[in-house]
Amino acid sequence: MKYFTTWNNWSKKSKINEKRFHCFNILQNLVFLVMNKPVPYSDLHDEPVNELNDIDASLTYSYANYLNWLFQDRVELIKGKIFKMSPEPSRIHQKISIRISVPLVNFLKNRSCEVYAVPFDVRFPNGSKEDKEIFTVLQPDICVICDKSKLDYRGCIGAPDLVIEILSPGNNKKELLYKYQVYEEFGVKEYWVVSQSDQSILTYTLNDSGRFQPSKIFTLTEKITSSVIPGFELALDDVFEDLD
Amino acid sequence: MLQPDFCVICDKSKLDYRGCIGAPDLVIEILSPGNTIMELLHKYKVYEESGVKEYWVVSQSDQSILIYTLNDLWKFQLSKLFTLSEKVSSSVLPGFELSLDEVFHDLE
Repeated sequence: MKYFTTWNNWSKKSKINEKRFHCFNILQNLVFLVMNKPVPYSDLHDEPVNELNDIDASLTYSYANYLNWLFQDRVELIKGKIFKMSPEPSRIHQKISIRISVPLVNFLKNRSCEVYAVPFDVRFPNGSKEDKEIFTVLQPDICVICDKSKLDYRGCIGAPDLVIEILSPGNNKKELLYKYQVYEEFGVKEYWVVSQSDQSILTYTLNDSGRFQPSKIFTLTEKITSSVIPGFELALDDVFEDLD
Repeated sequence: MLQPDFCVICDKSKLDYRGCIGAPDLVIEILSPGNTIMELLHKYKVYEESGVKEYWVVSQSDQSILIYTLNDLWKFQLSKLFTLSEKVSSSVLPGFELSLDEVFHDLE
């Protein structure tokens, strides 16, 4: 009898435990379901990210995400896709950059255009100017912006008037293809491509139908002029002489 | 007299045992450090004046190709700078296509 009671009690307890276990199971399944539920895009941007490796490069990101990336690596966004920039530009790259930007700054003193050099974010909004609606953010080597309403404390929003990229030896697909397409699509009026290896500068000018027109390739002994900055002249000898 | 890196001549009457007399249809120059100004400025003018129909400039350092095409006014018209993953075609050789990935692949 005692044995039976004990058994009975145990059996009752066991049933309660079974119920508890069952409830736990359902709960766990629910948690699991919630965890696996796709997180809506807009919820992602609040999370700070400390390591570039923590970012899934197969996904697309907005400027709102970009602002929460606290790592040192420099990246750019093109239509939401992440592009790594070279860790540090070479000394020659920087020397060329200064030799082009200083004459630009001097020429544009007391005029309405401003000159900026990397690191400087240019956002290319496709409609809405909200951070989470912007999917292309680039850092041109040098840019000139004549419409001051495009400037805010974070950088430039909208197409600069002139963008200058300095190629590095090797793969230049980003500058010559992806960024080229963005600059053309968003209406950058003039795009200069500087080749340090070939000591030349090629200029693209936006034509009336919004397409880049390659205008000329400038080389040593020649002087570069710009349709965006009338009167400005830059001797290529001054840019490329004595680089080493 | 010039010695282009490559040339394509479609008019066989321009060929003799010494080489080519007259403008080739297509000239290709490969830039290397040091000869940039020569290729781009001096030869450019010679090719344009003599009526080379197409002039390709290949940059090994930047892995890019640029094409000048002679227009109706006998002036060279510049193409965009082509880069890896792109293909270039030629107005002189209809149907011919060259993939830049194949040109610059595995150069070292």
